[in-house]
Parts: sequence; C-alpha cells; structure tokens
Amino acid sequence: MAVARPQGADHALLYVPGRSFLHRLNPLTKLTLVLWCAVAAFALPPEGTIPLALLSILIGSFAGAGRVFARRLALTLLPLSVALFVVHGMLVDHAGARASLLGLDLSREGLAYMVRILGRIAALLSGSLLFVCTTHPSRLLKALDAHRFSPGAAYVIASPLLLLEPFTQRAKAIREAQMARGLDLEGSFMTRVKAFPALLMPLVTLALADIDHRAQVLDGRGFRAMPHRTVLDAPADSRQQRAVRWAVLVSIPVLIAGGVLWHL
Amino acid sequence: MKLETKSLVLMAVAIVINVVVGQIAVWIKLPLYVDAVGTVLVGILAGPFAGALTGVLTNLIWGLISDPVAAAFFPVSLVIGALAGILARMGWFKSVGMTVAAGAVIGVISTIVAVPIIVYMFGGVTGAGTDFATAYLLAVGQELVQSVAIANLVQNLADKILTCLIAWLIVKRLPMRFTSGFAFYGYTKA
Amino acid sequence: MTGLLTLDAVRFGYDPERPVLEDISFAVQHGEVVAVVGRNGAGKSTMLRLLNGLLRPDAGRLTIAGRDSADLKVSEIAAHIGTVFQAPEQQIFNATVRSEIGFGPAQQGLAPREQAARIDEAVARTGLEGVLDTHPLDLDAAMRRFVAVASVIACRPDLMLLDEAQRGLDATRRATLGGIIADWKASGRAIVLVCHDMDFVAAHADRVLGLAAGRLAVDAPVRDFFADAAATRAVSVEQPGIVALAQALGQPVALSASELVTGLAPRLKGGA
Repeated sequence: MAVARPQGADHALLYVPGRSFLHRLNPLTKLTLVLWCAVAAFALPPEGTIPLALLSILIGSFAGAGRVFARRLALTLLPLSVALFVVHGMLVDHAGARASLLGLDLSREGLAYMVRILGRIAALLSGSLLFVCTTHPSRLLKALDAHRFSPGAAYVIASPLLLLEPFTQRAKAIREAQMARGLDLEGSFMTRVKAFPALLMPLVTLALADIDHRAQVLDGRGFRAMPHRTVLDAPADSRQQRAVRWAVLVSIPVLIAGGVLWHL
Repeated sequence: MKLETKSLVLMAVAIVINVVVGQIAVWIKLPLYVDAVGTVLVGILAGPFAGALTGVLTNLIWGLISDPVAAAFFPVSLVIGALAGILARMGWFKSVGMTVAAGAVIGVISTIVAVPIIVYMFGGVTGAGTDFATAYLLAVGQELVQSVAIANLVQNLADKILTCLIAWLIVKRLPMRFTSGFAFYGYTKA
Repeated sequence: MTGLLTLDAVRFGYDPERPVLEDISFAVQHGEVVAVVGRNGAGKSTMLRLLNGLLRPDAGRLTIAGRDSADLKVSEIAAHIGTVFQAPEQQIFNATVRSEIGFGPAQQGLAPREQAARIDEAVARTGLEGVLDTHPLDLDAAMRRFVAVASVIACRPDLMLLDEAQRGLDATRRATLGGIIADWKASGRAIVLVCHDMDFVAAHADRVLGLAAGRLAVDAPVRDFFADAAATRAVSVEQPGIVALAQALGQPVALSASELVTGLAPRLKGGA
C-alpha cells in the first residue's frame, strides 16, 4: 500500500462491540451508506465534506467508538496535513493570491486545496469507520449469505479475518524459536535482511502445507455444493431498511450530478 | 470463472500472508512494506485471475480491520497479482535474474497505477517517507505528478523486487507434495 | 565448581502480579542430565523459556557460563544453550535437511570445512544419513524432530534443552534419542529435559527437578526421587511401573527391568 500505515496497527479488528442503533442496522444498509459517503466525499466541496465527517464522528461516538475514531483520524490525517501543507501550501506552484502565515509565504489556493483533500479524506474515513466499527465481519458475512452471496466468495472474505490472529501468534512463536537458534534481529541491515527468510519461510510453508487438508475438509462438508447457503441467525432486515437502501442508491447518481454541476 | 476450492483456500491463506509478512518486515525494521508477497505467490501458483482477486481482497480486508483508506489502493494490488500471474505464465519466475526483472516490471506498472490515486485522492502525498522525496523534487522545479511518480517509483521498485524475490524463494523451497497440486505452477518449475 | 547454568531465586509471571514461577534456585553442572517434571501447567515450558532467554525473570538471576543472562541477548545465549522445541516445524525454513542442520554453524560464522564437519557429526549421531537432500517437511514428524536435534548438535552448545522430545517416538527412535542423550553427557555437556514420561526420565536422567504450584518442590537424584512416593505425589507424577513393582516386592529402587532382575537374582536363586 502506498499510503503510510498508521503506527500501532495491531491487527485487532476495528470493531467496537455495542448495542447501539448503528450496531443493529443490517450490515448491507450500512454498506450502502458507506458507498454514499464515498461518493459524497468526492462530489461535495469542503463545506459539505467537513460537516459530513463531523456528523459521522458524532454518530460514531454515540455508538461507542469515539476513541477509535479519534485515533484513526489523527493517525491518518496528521501526517497528511503536514505533507499537504508543505507540498501544496509551499512548494507546488498554485496560481493566485499568496498568504503569509508564521513568516512563511504560502499559496492561498494551495491551502484551499489542502483543506479540500483533508475534508474528503476525513469524510471517507469517518464514513467507513462508521461501518467498520459497528459491524463485526461475521455479521457482514451472514448478511451477505442471507442475500444469496456465493459461499466461495464469503469464505475468501471471512477466512482471512479468522486466520489472522492464529497466524500472527505463529509468527511470534517462530520469531522466538529462531532467536533461540542464534538469529539476531537487531544487528546491521544486512543481518536483518538475512533474518527475513528464517522468519517467514516457516510461517509460509506451514500455512501453505495446511491448504490441501483444509480444502478437503471444506469439500467434504458440502462447501459450494449448492449455490446459496441458508443462514440460521441472519442479521435483522426490514422493509424500511430495504427502502432506505434503494433510496440511498438512487440518490447517488443525483449526488454525482450535483457535484459535477457545482464544480462547473 | 469458477475457482477450485483449493485455490480459494490458497487465496485466503495468501491474504493473511500478505498482512503477516508486512508485520515481520516491521519487526526487522525493514524500510519497505513488503505486503504483497501472498498476492505474487498466488499469481505464480494459480494464475493472474486468482492473483488479482487476492490483491483486491487483501486491500478490502485491510480496510475492514485496520485502515479504511488503504482500501482505496485496491487497483494497485489488482495489477500486482495479475502481472505476477501473467509473467509467471511467460516463465519469468524460473530464475533469479528473471524474477528481479519481473519485480521491476511490477514495480513500474504498479507505480503508474498508484500515482493517479495518490495525486487525485490524496493531493500527491502519502503521509510516509516518500513525501520527503516528493517535496524535494518539487522544490527543484518538477511538476507534481512527476515528483510523485519518481519519488514513489524508487521505493516501489525496491519493494516489488524484494517481494518477488521472496515469493520466488518460497516457491522454490516448497515441498513437492504441495506444488504438485497447483497445475499453473508448471509454468514456473524449471 | 561454577555451574554451567545457575538460577538464583528466579521469579516470573506473564502478569507480574501473578507469578507462574517463584523462588526457583538450582544449578546444572557439566555432564548432568536433569529432568523437569510436574503436572500440566506447572510452569515447565515457562521454565525452559527462561533458560534460553526468551523470557526474562521478574526477579532473581540467571547465570549462564558465568555471565548474567541480563547482559546477554537471546542470540548470544543461543551460543551456549540450544533448544529443541516441541514443534520443529516452527524452525525449519531450509529446503534440505543438510542446509537446515548447517544453519546454526553458518550463523556462528564457522569456516565451510568446519561447518561440513559439524553437519557430518550431527547427522551421524541422529541417523539422518539417508535424507540429507530431502525437504525436512517431506519427512515424518519423528524425523523432523531429529532434524531439529541435529541442528542443535551441530551448534555444540554446552547445554541442550529438550521439550518433550521423546513424545510420539516409536521404540527404535526413543532408543536413538536415549543414545544421543548419553553421548552428549559423555562429552561433558549437559541436558535439561522437560518430560511427562516417567519411564524415559528413569532411564535417562540423573536428577529430577519437580515443579508444583510454581515452586521447586523437589530437587533430587533420580533414584531418590522415585523411591520417595511422597515426592512423586507432591509434583503429581506417577512412579514408573518398574519402581512401583520393585517397591511392592520389597526391593531397592530399580530404574529398569534388568536392574530389578539383577536385584532379584539372589532371591530367585535362593527361593523355591
């Protein structure tokens, strides 16, 4: 990924357990809303994206995920703001008026651009966080299954989420085992690069060796024998939610058109 | 295109490998991301379609668990997986030298795909180390798109070449009883 | 004589408030085979990881070859203490048995000729001659364990830690492992083995450390340990069948069938 990864990512889900209104909404409804947010983030000007972001943050806080929102937004937006400030405020040759701030000669247009980008990212990020923080992946999978999603696809989405924790633990165990054999992880750059295979080969070979067995177990249980699966406790859905989803989807082209017209 | 169950399991495992290998790179303080090893692996073992899909799903799942903004780069991962499969089919992963060449090709093309996303969505910055290079290039008079492209190209080339080498190493060291199950690997087996 | 390894009032807990091991003190000398026994969860694996430096004590001191372990990195401790883990798959990353065994010597920076010599020695002791060019993961679980043992032998540490190395081995392979332990001891090196199998302990260990409730409840020569029913009960292990039989017959402790028969010989001859 080309964007800097937030520090402190510990591979735990961003999901925050709770019983708020947002938690109880059907995952597909939430997904549709995220899609709307994504489009809005691009279609709306900063006057729209920033309030949208703030609204999402507010809703997210009510759902109990305030801390996650604050952390994620800070970790993502702060480095970007600094970089954008330098690149667009100072360096890129934007036409138009200059401004003077803290003794620096800045471009007004550049700063406006910075605000626009930050607003867009904030709206995008907060919108997705609303979904991700209030939807456990297993519920998303159940919702997809209930709506006739292919079991194979559902598997490829669900399985990694479930395998992540055990694999990370295994990687740590391997690191310890190799260290106990004399592998030095703190030496020079070349030493560390050479340590790389010792750390990842056992992990990968173990992971891959399992595959045949898993595939057989799955097939043996009738995986993908039928095109759809029956779900025992699908997330609740309702006519109102379905109506809302349709309304939201229909409004997206309108949003796009509105955005285009506004820019013209 | 319906994939075998085995390919699906491979993809699921590869997605996790992507994430965990990236984590290991952080442990040894490597200045590269190296988070596409699984994607390239699937390309070599199961072909371009599976490779591309692995890449896309990795980004989407990464978005779910950790960083929703990273999900925006799914086209880059798609291209990496697809290219790995295509180049594998052409036999590029048979030797070390060709693998490095494959890494270079993937590095260049994935940068080309990434730059518009970085410029249009993020205003040309990534919030990471490459921004220093971008800023420097801008300061010496380059245009924004060019600066972003050059700055990211260097890091991306190193990253993808290393990624391909690791994938190659892994595939070469896989026990026979495993590789015999993936027909597409026949294009790579020397 | 300074011990090869000395623990002095060592305390450790994954959560510092709740120690898993407390006040552990003992020393291991050259040429000793020490068994660590205790019920599941008594802290045996934790103890092993304290010994090889993967875990650091919350209190107390660990001295390895005269140096305080706190001053040593794990990779430095590895030069003195080699560990055979329960899951060798977690260490194997080379494509051939030969290169896997050679990893340690290579890490130590030995000359190629010396590396080859070490590999040959390790292979000879573990009986892996026929599979040197095989992928270690293509071998069965028992052979993989021997690859791990060979990898440690090739490094020539002073102390070898075995974590349930005998588990799952058939009779022939157990005998091979026993031979390796005996050779190791004869060369003046030491072994600490974590073991649930009391027959194996009786056959190969010199001394027993018994853990119970996080403390060292027993530190005794193997014969004395098994002779004392209270001691074995204290650490929740069973006496080996042969010991119980010997006691039932009123004989002194026997650690093997042949020993018991030798001890019984006078009675058998003299009896009816």
